[in-house]
Amino acid sequence: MGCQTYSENLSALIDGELSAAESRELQSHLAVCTPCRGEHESLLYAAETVDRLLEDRLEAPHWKVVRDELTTSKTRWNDFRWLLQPRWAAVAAVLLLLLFSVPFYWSATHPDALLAEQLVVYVNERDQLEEIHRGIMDIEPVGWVTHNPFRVTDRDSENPFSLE
Amino acid sequence: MRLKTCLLGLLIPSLLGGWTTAQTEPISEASEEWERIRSKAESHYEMVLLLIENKKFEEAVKNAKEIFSLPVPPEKHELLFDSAKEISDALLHHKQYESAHQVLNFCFAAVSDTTILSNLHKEKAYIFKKMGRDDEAIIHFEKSIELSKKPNS
Repeated sequence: MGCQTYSENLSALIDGELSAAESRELQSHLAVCTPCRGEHESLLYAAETVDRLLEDRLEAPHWKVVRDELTTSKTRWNDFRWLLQPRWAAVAAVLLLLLFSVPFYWSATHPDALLAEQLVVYVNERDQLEEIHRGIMDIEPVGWVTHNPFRVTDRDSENPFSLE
Repeated sequence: MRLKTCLLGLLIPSLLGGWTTAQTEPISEASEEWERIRSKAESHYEMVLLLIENKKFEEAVKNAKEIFSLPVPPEKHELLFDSAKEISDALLHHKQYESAHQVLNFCFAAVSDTTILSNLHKEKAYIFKKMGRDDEAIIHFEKSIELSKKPNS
């Protein structure tokens, strides 16, 4: 095989396209042939330069942003992908059921809570009445507004002291 | 001075046997005793409210005790509850929680009707709630509900 043939295969060697045997044969030739070795080095330098340029272009800020975004969104999706597995869906369903049944369970096992609720309702109702009463008392003194249960005239409508 | 005059004005008619109301209504012999009691209660009640109005709370409680010491017949016990509620409300208006409790306790000692006792417990629950003593409020509220379910004694 002559230098012409070896020279044609130099690009294939750099690109890793030669078979192991062809590559070995070419490497042996390069070890002994100075012109071919020079050409190989020249091609290698050119290939490395192109690679570096491509790399620089890919590392440009906008590409970096795009790459990061793609990587992140993929990671986000992957983070929650496990939820689609049936066993986790079942666990989620059980948790939801527990969450909604807690108030019912609480009322059943804590009658005090129910009583406290009723008490709050009662107190609120009383407070509303108290507000009205207070409004009247701000206008007139307490003694003359509050009715006297023992006074006959205070019970005109349904007089419990009627002597009939 | 003005208060004392006012109180005397209320007390004297009651000591005379409630003749003020006797003038307007015919009183049979059977109701004579009750009329005497009612008249006293009426006067004491007016005095209690006047004393509260003048911020003499201790005296007001003492006078309130007089109302619940009167031999009011059981069929008129509803009036005792009404007066206890009104007096305790007036005391609450002045944030006299302990005095309001005392008045309700006097009423507790004087009545036996289940409905009235239930209502008294509810009043106590209300006052305890206002005092921020929720646990005691719930105890009385529970007693009130229990009693309201029982038939009247």
